[in-house]
Amino acid sequence: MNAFERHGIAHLSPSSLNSYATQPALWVMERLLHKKTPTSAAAKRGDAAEQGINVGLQDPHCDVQECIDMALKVYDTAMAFSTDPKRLAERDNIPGYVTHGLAELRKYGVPDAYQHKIEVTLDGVPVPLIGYLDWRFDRHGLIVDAKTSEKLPGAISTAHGRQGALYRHAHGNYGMRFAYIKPVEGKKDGRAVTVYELGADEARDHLAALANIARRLERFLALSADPQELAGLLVPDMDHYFWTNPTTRAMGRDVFGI
Amino acid sequence: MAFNISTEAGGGDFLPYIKYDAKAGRMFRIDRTQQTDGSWTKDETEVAPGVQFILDFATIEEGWISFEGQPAFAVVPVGQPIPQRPGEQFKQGVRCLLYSQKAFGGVRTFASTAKAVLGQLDNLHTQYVAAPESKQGMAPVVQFDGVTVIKTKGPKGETTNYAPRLQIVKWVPRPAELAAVKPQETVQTPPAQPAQRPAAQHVEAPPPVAQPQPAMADNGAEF
Repeated sequence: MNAFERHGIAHLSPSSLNSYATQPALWVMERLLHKKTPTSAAAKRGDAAEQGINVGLQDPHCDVQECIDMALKVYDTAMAFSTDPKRLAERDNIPGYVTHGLAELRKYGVPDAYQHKIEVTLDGVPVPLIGYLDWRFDRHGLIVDAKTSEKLPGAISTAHGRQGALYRHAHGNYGMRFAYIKPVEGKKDGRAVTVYELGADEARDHLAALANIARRLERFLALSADPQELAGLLVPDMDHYFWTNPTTRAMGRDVFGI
Repeated sequence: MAFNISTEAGGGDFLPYIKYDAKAGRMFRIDRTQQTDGSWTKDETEVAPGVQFILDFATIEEGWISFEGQPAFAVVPVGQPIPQRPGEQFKQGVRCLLYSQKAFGGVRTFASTAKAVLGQLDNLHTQYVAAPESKQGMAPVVQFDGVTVIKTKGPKGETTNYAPRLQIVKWVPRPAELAAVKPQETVQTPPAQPAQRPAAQHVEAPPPVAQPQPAMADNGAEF
């Protein structure tokens, strides 16, 4: 039995490995101690916008307002009983994300797959990595993942790059693109969407990093079968934005005493 | 665009250089002289059309060059994959060695990111590679014949640059002075920069794929 199985971990994911690499204390709290932390309004906004965009991609003639309405419904359902102070502000931005996202992504045509599950085994990692890509366009040989944010980045982030590397690896020679969408057009460049394609060399490096992180995580998990003992080895960085939510911080104080 | 390669720190350790101002269409030899108080002064002597010099294509480098503040280079010999762009202030360019005892006092370094210059060097390099003399290890003597006006229309209106007119006029054995110099010794290592991801470029959506038209039956065809 490998260390992952000993802790009841049947598979990994890029987001899980990114989380471990960035904030191992939070990873242990969530994945080993099963403390369910609140999902942020920003995360739910992203999910909702993506679902609204998907409606418009699957039906190119669907009115944009209908797509927006769908996204808002998804968001409102997910955020029911949420006390996140950004709840209303994030909701206000959803129409912009859906509108600008569709303006760009409808150029790709109707996708051949949405939220398609991929499963990959990496060298030296005894459990598979799984993920869910946003859209696949077979006629173009492209995978596209939408990312919503208030600002457009200048490049694909490391975390996103690792995610994209896995999708790309699972699809042979398909190109991997990230569509970064913001709710309003920029004042200087008039741009609300920028699309970057992950280079082959970048993807190779990110895939190697994922395998590296997974192997290190396994070695960490092998230290003990007791999650509390493993938590006792770590210290959270409460300044990191992962710990912004008051409920998450309170959980962290309970677990780590900090 | 005017440029120069700074040799402010420890100037005696670095090669002197040639500067080409693409905005003005003028070439200068830059000489730095240390004063009695230890400070350095810079003298610019214009290089007149008609001047001949060896352009050492055998060691020419390409990659990323920044002239903001202290010049910085991320370059490799031509033909090798260029490195990742170190930062937004870096532009694609070339760096090479020039030699003329008469016109330049020996070996000089030259670098440029100006499109007007790069285009000319690209043409010359193509000729260099194709020439049998280059395969024999000989070096081309290049003559500077003045400039050509390049007008470009852009979003901010028309801009005027000047491309240097350069031609290979003869071939000579590669001087020992060039063999003694390694271009990478000419520039101080830039200060360590925090790790940066190179800026990515937006990619446009692919063109729509034409759907095949259904085959039309000929009138009267039997199936």
